[in-house]
Amino acid sequence: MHLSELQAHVGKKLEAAQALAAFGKPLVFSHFTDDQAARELIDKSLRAYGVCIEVGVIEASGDGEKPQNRYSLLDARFDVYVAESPEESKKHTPSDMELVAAVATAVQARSATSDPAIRCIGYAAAKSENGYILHALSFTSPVVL
Amino acid sequence: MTTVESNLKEFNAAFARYVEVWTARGHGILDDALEKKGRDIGIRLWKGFTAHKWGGAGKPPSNLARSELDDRAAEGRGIKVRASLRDEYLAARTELRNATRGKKTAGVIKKKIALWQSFVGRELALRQRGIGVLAASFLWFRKRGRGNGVYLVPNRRGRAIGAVERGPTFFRIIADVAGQSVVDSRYAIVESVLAGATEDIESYLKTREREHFRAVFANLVNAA
Repeated sequence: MHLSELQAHVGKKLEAAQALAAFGKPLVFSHFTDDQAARELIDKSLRAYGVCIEVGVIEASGDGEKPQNRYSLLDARFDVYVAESPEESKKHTPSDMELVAAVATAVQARSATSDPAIRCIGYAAAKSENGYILHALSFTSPVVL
Repeated sequence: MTTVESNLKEFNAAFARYVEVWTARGHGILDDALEKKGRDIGIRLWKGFTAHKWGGAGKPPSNLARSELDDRAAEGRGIKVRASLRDEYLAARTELRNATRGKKTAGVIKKKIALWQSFVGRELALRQRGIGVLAASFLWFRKRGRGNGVYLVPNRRGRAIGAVERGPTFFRIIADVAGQSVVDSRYAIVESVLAGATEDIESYLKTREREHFRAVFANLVNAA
């Protein structure tokens, strides 16, 4: 898969996942999106569903020792963020670690042999002062330029 | 004293942005950020200087000073004993001469040789104890100074060889150790430490995605 296609590909996989259908279309982070606009989208998703899923920016690196050309494989890395609301009125299913597992499964699923072999390589979570939880799943995938 | 200006401006600019985000996240005030990053740089400087200390990083070999003496002896060169020990030796030699005046026996000659060898041994012991102490020792923030944000770093004799000064808007590390600027200019230690600290700050600030979520969470509480 090409580097330029990976982020949108991950977004589509999350959108197509049955377990995550109740949470609307996931967001795809872009450097070109105004900060305020990006925050409004997150806010809208949290108020509507109690959950917001966002595919982070893609970074990639290759092996500098070997000769490279534009068909050489690069190692792409990206994070998928999952924010959860603690409000009773925004209770959702799946939630907490089941939600995290559903997101990880959706991203790593391969529906065709041409799909890249995405692997989850890390997880972290943080809780805000007012009880909102942000999960961050890290993934890696082979890509070509 | 060494003053490094080369990439201090880049570090300061990154630190200013760091303070803005760090304090906005409720981790503390400017004073806390100064303390945190100041200590971080102190630790990095320590690692940088000790990596280039005599004998290399880590625990120095126990016989480093002795092996250097052996190398010099093999080349036909002697060892220079420091002035204070040399004065002591000359005084002891005079005493020995007075005590053995007129007696040129083999035993007396052996005593004179042994006297000099004992002072060479003391010189070696002092050198071995001093390994690793030089350039990095000014970073040992062990002792508080005047209680006004100044921390003094004394050597074994109590003389201040370094200090850390804290003010409302600054954190300053001062070194006054012989040879420290030579080590730094050879290996560009301070410059690489500042570059590393700047890079750390930049990666902390880089995650705009997380910053967006944080801002939204805070706003949702205010709206509620």
